[in-house]
Amino acid sequence: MISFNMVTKIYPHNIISLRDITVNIEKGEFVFLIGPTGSGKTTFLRLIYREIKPTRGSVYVMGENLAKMKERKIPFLRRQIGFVFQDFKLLPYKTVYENIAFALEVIGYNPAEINARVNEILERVGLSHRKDLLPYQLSGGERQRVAIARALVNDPPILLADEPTGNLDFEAAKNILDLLVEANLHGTTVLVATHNREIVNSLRKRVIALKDGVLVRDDKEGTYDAQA
Amino acid sequence: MMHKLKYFLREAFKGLWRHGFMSLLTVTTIFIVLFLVGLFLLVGINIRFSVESLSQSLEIRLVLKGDPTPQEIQRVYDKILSLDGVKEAKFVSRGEGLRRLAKEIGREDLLNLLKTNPLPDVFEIKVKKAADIDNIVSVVNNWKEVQEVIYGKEAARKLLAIQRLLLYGGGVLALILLASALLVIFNTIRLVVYARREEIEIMKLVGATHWFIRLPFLFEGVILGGLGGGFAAAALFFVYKEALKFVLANFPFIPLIGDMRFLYELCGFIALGGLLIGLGGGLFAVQRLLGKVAVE
Ligand SMILES: Nc1ncnc2c1ncn2[C@@H]1O[C@H](COP(=O)(O)OP(=O)(O)OP(=O)(O)O)[C@@H](O)[C@H]1O
Ligand SMILES: [Mg+2]
Repeated sequence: MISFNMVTKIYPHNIISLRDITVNIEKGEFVFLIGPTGSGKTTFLRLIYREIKPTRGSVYVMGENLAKMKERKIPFLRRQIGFVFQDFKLLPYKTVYENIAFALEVIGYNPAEINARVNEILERVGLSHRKDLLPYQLSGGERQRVAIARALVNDPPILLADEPTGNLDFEAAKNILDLLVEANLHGTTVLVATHNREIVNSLRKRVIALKDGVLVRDDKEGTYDAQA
Repeated sequence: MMHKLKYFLREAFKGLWRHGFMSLLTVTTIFIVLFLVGLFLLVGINIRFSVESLSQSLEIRLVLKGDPTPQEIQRVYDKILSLDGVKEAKFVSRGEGLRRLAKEIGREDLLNLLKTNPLPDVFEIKVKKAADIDNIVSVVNNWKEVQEVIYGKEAARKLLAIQRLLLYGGGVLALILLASALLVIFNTIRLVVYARREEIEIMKLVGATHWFIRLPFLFEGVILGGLGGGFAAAALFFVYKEALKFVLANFPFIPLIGDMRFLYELCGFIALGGLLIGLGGGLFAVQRLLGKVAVE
């Protein structure tokens, strides 16, 4: 599904953010990406949705070499990938419903289908009763659920989340993770970059750890800290 | 297809409404810029028009030697017409000249009084532009059939100076106007871009194609530009009509262009300019935003 082959990413000013990363993520996996701040987690995710290109090495997503992908095909790659960010990235002047519908409108769904899908996903994340509110009228956890609903509304094969629980307390964070796990059960490949020790330890999924841009650990049913 | 078009229009109008202040600012900017451009053009075209009508009243009088035969007169006439910058030439025979003179001084019996006609045969030449006078004079001065060349040397020189001043002064003014217009429009676009970058970032993330992102912006640009240009055209039309009335009533000797066709054309040109500025500005703005995400 996603594979990195000796990937090195060097930002301007010679900042090396990833070094010779080789890793394979299969279809249907659930993976935590952990590491201290500045270790390269966000860079890793940005490579997958072709926000940036690797300096050396290659990244394959669903069989496509992203370095060779034509600029105008990028939107179609992104339709296969849902995103969730720490800061939600909701449009402040659109309601909950409109924020989610927007993701379908811009990829050309017809109105009837949009209506059906948005209502269904709102049900799934438990926000049907909030659909006409604006983002500022919601709690942090609710906002993140809207973002997850938007990421999942077109059933993408891949879901990327960059610190989706960063601003939330444990209860809200758990709730978010439940949604991600549920999506994973539906067959979506999920990749979550996080600092949240409790969440990682409670779920016992695959853990990939980065440190200073180097892959230092890849455990099958891992924990946040290396086991002795 | 229909629901896409509806989507673009809806998004365009929503965007305009949501960013109401920016929309107002943009329309006002385009209005002011195009109104000034239009005013500049109106004044410039009218000045040119009056200078041209003045130049055309300038006249070169070619006095012929002795007593030329009809063939000689025809030859000179052909030579004159083959010169660059000649608008028309008219032969005034000595008889005709005397009749004119008699009429002017009110003595129909002038020829009887003088016994012989002392006047020479003359060609009256009208030029297209004041700038051509010097050239024409220096050429015809060398013709052997020519006795003397008479023309308003001072008037020609002054007109030329005015034209040159208008050309250079107008050019410099036009450049300043254009530069400030571009600067203002560019700044407006920067503000729009700043207000919209989040929206576009999210559209890109969820996989909108570039054209899908561009189109609502282009619709918005065309609507704003069209409004600004339309208002400017209407204002110019009104202002010129009033100016025409006023000048005609108070300064009838100032030759303003009365033919309305030129005004229609100018106003149409201004309105079209607004549309194009809107389209170009919208495209430029969205292009900047689309380019924002660096691909290293
Ligand atoms: N656009 C950029 N230009 C230059 N350097 C960058 C850029 N983005 C990230 N970096 C650098 O690359 C390194 C890795 O950054 P990255 O954002 O991937 O870390 P991270 O693991 O996501 O950190 P955090 O946990 O704080 O989000 C850092 O040293 C960072 O300063
Ligand atoms: Mg990060």
